Amino acid sequence: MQNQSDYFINQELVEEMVRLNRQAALVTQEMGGVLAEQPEPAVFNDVLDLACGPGEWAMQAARSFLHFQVVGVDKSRRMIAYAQAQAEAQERGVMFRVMDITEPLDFADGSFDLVNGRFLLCFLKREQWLPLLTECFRLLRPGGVLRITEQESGFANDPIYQQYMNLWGMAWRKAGHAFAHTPAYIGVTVEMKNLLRQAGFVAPRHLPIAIDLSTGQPTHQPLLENLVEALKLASPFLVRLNVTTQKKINTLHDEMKGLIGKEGFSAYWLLQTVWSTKPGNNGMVAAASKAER
Amino acid sequence: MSTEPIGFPSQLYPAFAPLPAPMADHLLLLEQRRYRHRPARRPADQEMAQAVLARIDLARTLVFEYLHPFVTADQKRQERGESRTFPNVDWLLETLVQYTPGQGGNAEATLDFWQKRGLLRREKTRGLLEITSVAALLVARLTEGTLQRNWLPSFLEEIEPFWWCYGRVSPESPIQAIPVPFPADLPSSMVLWTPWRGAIWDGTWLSIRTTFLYRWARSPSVEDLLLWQEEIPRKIQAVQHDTLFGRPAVQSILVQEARSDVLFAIAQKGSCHAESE
Repeated sequence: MQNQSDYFINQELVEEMVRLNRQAALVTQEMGGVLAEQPEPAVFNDVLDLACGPGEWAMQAARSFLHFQVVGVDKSRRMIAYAQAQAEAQERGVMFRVMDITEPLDFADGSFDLVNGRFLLCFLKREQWLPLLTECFRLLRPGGVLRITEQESGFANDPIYQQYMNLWGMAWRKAGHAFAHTPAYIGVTVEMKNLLRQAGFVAPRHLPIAIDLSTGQPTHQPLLENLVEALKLASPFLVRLNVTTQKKINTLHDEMKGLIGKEGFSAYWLLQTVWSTKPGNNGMVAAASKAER
Repeated sequence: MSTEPIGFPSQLYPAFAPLPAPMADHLLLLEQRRYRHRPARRPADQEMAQAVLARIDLARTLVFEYLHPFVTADQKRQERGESRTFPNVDWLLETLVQYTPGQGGNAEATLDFWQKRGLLRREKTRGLLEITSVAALLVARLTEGTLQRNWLPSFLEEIEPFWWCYGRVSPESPIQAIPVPFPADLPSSMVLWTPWRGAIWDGTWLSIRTTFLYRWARSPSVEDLLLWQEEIPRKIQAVQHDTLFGRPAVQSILVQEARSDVLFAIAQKGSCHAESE
């Protein structure tokens, strides 16, 4: 997460830190784990988590692969303090450091085997992606993997949810974060492979993920509550962008709450993980391509 | 429609733990003030009280989830022989400033002022802020997230209990509101419970992933335990005259284990809290 000036919610609010923590846990679970799409995740050792927020992914990675040396970075000092406290409380050997991922990062070239980033769209403008991916290229060892998970809008059989997604589509577009030329979707996942190639990565691959938010699904209530809370917390950002009014947000907030447990409600939240390799070979590439074959 | 200020009835005090009663009453008063200029739209008193309780419950959950890692990490540091550092003044000020419109912030002087007014406590031994009073302050701040001033009552009386929990002396007895710190004369068969998950931090409450945390008010005897459950205490009674198991030291261990087992069974069955939910 980044600071208030470029992040859509004041991430230093207690509500937001807890919301992010809960959302991260739900998303990791729905994605089948921290590295579900990686053919041989055990080949990684040094792992960097970009804009790690409260550190859920980093700690889950350290828990899933005990040999991982995980570092999480985030611009928010308070978020890092929260992540560090969680790591100490759970006795996870994860290191958290305060760093702004829109600036060069304080690590030597080739420090990592794997760099992970999730939901970076929330604070990265279109033009900030390529410098970040180029910086990740520098930080990775030859054969290392960059892995980015981003969100798109979604599908729903309910006009209220569709209105909610459209609102975000408009907001990301107006804020200069979206790549799409329509508020119907965000387009960051469409552009990701091109960006990775431009940064020097090779053989990008993708895995689409559709999180089922429909009534009756285990994620229905917790994730919908999370999205409703995000709307409330992001209201200053949305009003400032002039994509809606506070009054309309309040109405939509109440209507969204009404979807929780609504019979017949069906919706999917679309995410996509794109991963790509830095050319060269340190043994990991061979293992990865063998698995691919 | 009444426009008189209302307060929470005393039997509801445990429902908004860890808030002291005047803090919760103040939040209710603020809710009433929202309708000062439009009395016709003022909801019924009970409806307003329910709305405030629901907001407190939401805030309390968030505050616990946020504080728990900090408190646990601090306790682990203490176990390693390091100094405890949490919660400190800077951390609290930085947390509160996020809720101050205009980012004016609360100065350290404000914390001193609150302390003098009984709204914030410090641990006597280390001078650190007392975690439950910090939690109560944050719950109040999150419940009333918009006002820059007057979101707290002006003061708390010195005799004001820190917070309240539920208690009952047997499964059939009425549920009572019990002040914390506990009065010295609580019956030894009394079971206490609270929806405040942060109670776990003092190490005396049992948490088994139910809505409530449980503890005994004092150290119950075998006879006290028999009021709650027959099976385990009977087994102890049966071996009272046994040459091995009847020895005082062994009996003491057996009773201690039985206290935990019976409390666990009470918590699991929900026999206490069913009526307080």
